[in-house]
Amino acid sequence: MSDWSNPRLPQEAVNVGESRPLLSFFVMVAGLGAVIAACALVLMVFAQAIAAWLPFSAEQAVAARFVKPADPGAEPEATLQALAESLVGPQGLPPGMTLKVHYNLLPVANASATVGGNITIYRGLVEAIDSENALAMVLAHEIAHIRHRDPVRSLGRGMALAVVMSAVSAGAGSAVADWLLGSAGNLTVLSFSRSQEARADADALAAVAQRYGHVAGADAFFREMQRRSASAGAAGSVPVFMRTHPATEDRLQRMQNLAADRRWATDGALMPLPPVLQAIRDARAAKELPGG
Amino acid sequence: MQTLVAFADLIVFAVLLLVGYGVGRIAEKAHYASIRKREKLFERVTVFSCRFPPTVSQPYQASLVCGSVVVSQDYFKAVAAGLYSIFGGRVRSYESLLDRARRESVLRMKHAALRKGASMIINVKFQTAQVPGRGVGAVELVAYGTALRPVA
Repeated sequence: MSDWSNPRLPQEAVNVGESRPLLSFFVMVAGLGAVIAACALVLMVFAQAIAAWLPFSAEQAVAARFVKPADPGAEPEATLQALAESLVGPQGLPPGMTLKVHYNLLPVANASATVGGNITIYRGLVEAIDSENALAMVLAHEIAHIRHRDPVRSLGRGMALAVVMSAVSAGAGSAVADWLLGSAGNLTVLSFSRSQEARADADALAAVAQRYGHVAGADAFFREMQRRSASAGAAGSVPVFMRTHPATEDRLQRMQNLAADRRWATDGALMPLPPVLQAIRDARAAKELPGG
Repeated sequence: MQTLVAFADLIVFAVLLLVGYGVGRIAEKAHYASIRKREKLFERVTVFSCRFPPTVSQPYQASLVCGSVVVSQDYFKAVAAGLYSIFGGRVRSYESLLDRARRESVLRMKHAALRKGASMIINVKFQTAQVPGRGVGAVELVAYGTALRPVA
């Protein structure tokens, strides 16, 4: 029986792989992240391309679910709507496309275009401009986004990202995906690319030139925003408009070059703001100078 | 506070991962220390997989002995295993877990044999079973064999 024996103990590292659990964990997480990001990117590009084929009526149906109905009888809205319609120009909008301008009481100096032909002008913007020409430029810019179906493209892109992320959450780390869905999903929905912005600028400038016969004062709002962000940049309170419409120096330069190319007059009489909007500006000015 | 709420799921995930990693590692280290200690202690009980005892000159009393252990994964091991299931390769996070379970089950079987006064176990076999239940991720490991006690 002496030739029956068990091997000497302990036997280590035979059945257990030498492991650096954290390292292999992070390598795999990074790999998975890269694969998901690549999938998301491909889908987003694809969705952005096909979204423009969606009929405008479908876009309106989507918008009806989250764009609040206009406050009936709001005077600035009627004025803004009339101005927007006058900027559409003789060529009109593509068939079936409609515009609805909303006036928002928030004091942010911003304007936005979203699906369903909805444009929002914020009170802060009206307070920041002093001529109809500057307002027309902003309105025409947002109209151009809608004409080119930019909002629905962005929405398609955001939806594609949301779909990829929800697929991830069902499979692996649902918590990570939910977090991405909450922040990145919303963030990308309605931001436009640099080329989309440039195209909207060019169209808007053409619309302003057509409406007023010159482009004087058209870039007033952009310049005002640039001035504000320069003075507020250090404090970190960059105007919201600058985050959604980066008004860089070369963007203004491009507008000037375009005006020169097309031989649009760069000076002319500025139209005063319509009385309803001027009243909003005056109310603001009165608040700032309570004594005078 | 708002960001804390918005990132709640991620924070819960990270905490579970950290707790799973930290506690799991401490528990594993302690378990291995205990395993090594008892393996030394029970070294005189020999185990074999052959079906028949060595040619014997003395009579033996044979009885069944078994050692069973149920182990659960921790959160970190589970997430890591999920990643291995995508990329393939050795599921290292489970290798140490099952190694501990195997050695522990043998130790418990040896313990049972010692209590019967046996010093040899033949025909040793292992069996595993998954413990059912949603998201439990536990496994039972049974080692059993025939303990031989010399009859004086």
